[in-house]
Amino acid sequence: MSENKICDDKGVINMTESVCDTSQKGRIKHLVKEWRRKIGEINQKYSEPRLKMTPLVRFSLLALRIYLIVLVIILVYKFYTLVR
Amino acid sequence: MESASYYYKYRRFIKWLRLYLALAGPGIIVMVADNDAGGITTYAATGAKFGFHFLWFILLLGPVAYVVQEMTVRLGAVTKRGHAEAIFDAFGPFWGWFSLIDLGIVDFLTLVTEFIGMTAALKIFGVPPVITVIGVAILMSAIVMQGRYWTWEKIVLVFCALNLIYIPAALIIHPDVSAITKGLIPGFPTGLTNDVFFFLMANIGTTIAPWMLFFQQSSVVDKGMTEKDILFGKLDTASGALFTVIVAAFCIILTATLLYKPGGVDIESAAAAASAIMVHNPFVGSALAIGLFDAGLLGAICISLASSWAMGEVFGWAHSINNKPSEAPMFYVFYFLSLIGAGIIVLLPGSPLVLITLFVQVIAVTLLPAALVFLILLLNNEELMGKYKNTLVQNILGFSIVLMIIILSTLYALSVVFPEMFK
Repeated sequence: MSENKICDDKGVINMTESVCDTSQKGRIKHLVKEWRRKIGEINQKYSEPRLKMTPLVRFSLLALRIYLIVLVIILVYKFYTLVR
Repeated sequence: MESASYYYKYRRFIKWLRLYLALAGPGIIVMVADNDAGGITTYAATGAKFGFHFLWFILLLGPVAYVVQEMTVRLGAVTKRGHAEAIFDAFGPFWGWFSLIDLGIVDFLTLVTEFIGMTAALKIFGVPPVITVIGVAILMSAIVMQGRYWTWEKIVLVFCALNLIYIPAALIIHPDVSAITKGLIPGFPTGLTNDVFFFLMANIGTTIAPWMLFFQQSSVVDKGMTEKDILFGKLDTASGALFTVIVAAFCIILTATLLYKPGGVDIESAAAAASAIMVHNPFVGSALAIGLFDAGLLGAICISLASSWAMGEVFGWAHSINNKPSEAPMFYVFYFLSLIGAGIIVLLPGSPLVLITLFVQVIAVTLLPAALVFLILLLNNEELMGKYKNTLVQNILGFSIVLMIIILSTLYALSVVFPEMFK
């Protein structure tokens, strides 16, 4: 049986945050939530690329995307033929 | 009067040399670690297959590696940021996560291949793989956990010096000097066959690896190098490039002298070459095996740190070797987890080790072009780099080399996936 307690982001009892359980499952859920929050923070921090998007930069990034897509298609094809 | 001037020049030189020795490290370490277990296997196989024919090509790879790595020195010294953080900052989260996740996968798989090399090398001396893995994990932990970048660097430089073992090992077997001289002249005596092309691509693939860009830039930042240290950073990188091609050349000379026969000899790995040589010449065989272990160890040290630094930069954890484990817990936890994970995979019976070795090459080419393109774009940003941005000559050289590496490493990866492509 999991115990319901009030806790903060480090799992310490506190009266201001939401209800959480201290079982293994609850801790994992809490950890996943923490990682998602951290990733969201990073995405927010770097949301505006600092590099000016000149035609050269745009072209390079587009070429890179096409290159990677082609590479992934080739690998998927290889995997498909191997499985068959 | 003249002797006073000489004395003054001498004192100035000694002062300069001391400063250089204090600042040297990241460039030499990254370049020597580039001759990792996979690299040594490639060089040993090249020597056994083609003799001295491609020594000129190996020497040519030194300047290529220098041009690419020198850019990371400038970028790190000017921005004070590691490569992962610089990509997030300049190109946004999409390319940032792509690079970080790809780097994590490539580094982990490469780490597995380093452990494969190390266990195979010590198996020649009768050391069971489990002892090798545990011993390496303890050694690597001790090197990193002492809490000082300077000490870590000097210990790693000792392991770099051990890489020179190929020089006496090659000299002791009296290689054919005239054949070596002929090998230094560019050309394709056996014609540009598919086999030749495959080996040339493999050698390029081992010369520039994605982790090297991340490692050297983070290392420059962790060492605290600034704009005024760039010249020493360049010299350090140039010394490393020279060191690495000399070691590679002597490794080729060794197997070319002892294993090569007209028509070429195929060898499976450097460990197999060491075992074959051990039968006729125990000293040289042992040297090859010790060199292979050392190469794997250096590769493992640098690769696991490259990932930990990159994760620390992006997630905002304390991420310096100057921090003690209690001050940077996540940095060290990530370092140990990757180390232990790779070690366990090598020890697990039935692990797809051959598949992992091939897969590394393929995954690496999904990251290498991106990392190189980002590097060139960052180095051309005046707002970021100021007067240290790429000059026209640096751009012409940089673009040509990056383009060549992208094309050849992609073809190499494709040839690994589709072996019939170059037959």
